[in-house]
Amino acid sequence: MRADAASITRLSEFALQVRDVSRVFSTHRGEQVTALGASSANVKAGEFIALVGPSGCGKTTLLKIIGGLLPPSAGSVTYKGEPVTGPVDDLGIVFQQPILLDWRTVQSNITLQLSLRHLLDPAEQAERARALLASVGLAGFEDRYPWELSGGQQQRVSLCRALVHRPGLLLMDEPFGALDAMTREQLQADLEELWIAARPIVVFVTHDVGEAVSLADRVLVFSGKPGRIVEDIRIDVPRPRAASLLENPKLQNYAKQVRALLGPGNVPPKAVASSSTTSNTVRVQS
Amino acid sequence: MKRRRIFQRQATAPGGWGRAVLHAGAAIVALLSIWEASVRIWHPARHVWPALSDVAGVFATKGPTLLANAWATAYETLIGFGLALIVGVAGGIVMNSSRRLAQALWPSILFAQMTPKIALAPLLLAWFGFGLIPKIIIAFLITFFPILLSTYTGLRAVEPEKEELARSMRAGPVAYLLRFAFPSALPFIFSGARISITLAVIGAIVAEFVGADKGLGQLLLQSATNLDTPLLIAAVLLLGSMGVALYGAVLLAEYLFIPWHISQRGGDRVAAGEI
Repeated sequence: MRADAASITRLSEFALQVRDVSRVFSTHRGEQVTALGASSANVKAGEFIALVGPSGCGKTTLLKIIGGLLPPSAGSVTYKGEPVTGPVDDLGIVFQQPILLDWRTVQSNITLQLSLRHLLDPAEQAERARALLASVGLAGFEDRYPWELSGGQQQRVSLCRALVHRPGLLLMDEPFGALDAMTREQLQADLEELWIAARPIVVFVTHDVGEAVSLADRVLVFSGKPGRIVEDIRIDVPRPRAASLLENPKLQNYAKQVRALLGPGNVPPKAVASSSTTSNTVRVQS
Repeated sequence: MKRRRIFQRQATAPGGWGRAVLHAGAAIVALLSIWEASVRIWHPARHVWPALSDVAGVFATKGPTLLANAWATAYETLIGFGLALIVGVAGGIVMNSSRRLAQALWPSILFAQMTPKIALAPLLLAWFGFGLIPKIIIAFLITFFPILLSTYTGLRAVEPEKEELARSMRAGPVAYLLRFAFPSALPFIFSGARISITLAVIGAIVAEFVGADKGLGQLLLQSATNLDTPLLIAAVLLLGSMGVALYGAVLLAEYLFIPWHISQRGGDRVAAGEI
């Protein structure tokens, strides 16, 4: 990212600091592969950050390092002034797949987050789960089992589980990548609404440029292999705006800018094939 | 309204349980009829191919003897299987917890598995005599491996995301095992248990062949020596029924413990959200 002189003098301004973090993996053949080149980022409390880049650029690796789920090979992460050495205390996470526990009802999938952290009594846990479910249009689904729900509904439950303990840091790894375009747009709007209400830091990994610019406060653009952050673009468009990409020329300009950085050769085919109507439009425009 | 629908219609063929029982019952009656008819038509010697009615007579006259022997075999089978379940699952968990331990133990376990259990029977007989213990040990040894292997495989097959999710939720190793990994592995463990329960009966019978004072295997040998074929066939039928009942018990446990698994869901296999 760009050197930010202010960040050096006023470190406390940033709730999340990533300093020269890199990660090298050993393959089963004994080769050393750099999954993530030295990357730095400073994130303020309540900021929504999107990580965009081609496949295999290390976005997910950085996401896991930020959450303390994966140790970096070099560099350091601090969260709320503390160095991150294991899973962050108030962490929520959403994967591309819902990863719900099939043997638990929707509600107890969500309340497990609270039970494991010894938060609230059972009645309060249930109440909070119900309220969250209602906010994503799943009122009345509390006693269903995950496999009775559609993919989009499952991912909503997964989102509720990640938010039920009111985390300060929400990590999302291509959370809507496996959904159809209509469901995805609905979930993007739901996410923005929930984020505005709770204001955790969100680190959102995506292939979809349209999704990144319409959701995030800042889009961090990665280069190809070995991945590192090449640009930090602030999306200066008032909210709520998640559902307005098609009508908003400013968002489209940002999308064009991000696409130019990724370059036509760098855009993974998956992003094009699976892109929603929104990002298709962006491609036509650019 | 539609809630729980899938549980109610669980694991049933089209038409439900009633029809399934009817179909199976009809097939059994047909087979028994063919048996009885074959004897009425060809009149084979009684010690070669007895009539259904002769065998039924054995159940009537020697019922208590048959049941006592069946109970001995069932007891050996169940204790052996139960021990294998406990040790196999615990072993799978331990092996999964340490890569080094797994590397150290696998060759020995594999060697033990590949050695025919029957080869140990004379030794066990020398150590423990003609009682139940050698049979229980053979039944245990023969059933232990599928359960160990399926537990180990089931635990290793847990999605990495599930493990990351658990860590993100601050679950410790024990909470991870109990809340995430073990339930995920249960379908694997049950398929191992299904294989094991059929093997357990074989193990007990084979051990009885080598030397026993009671049990259906012992009764089989004895009736063959005496050319008492009706008794032999009665013992075989009882053994078969016992095997089916034990297998059914495992299926019932599966139905009770993992109703959420896809193999247990009845009805049309579509997500309710898509209906």
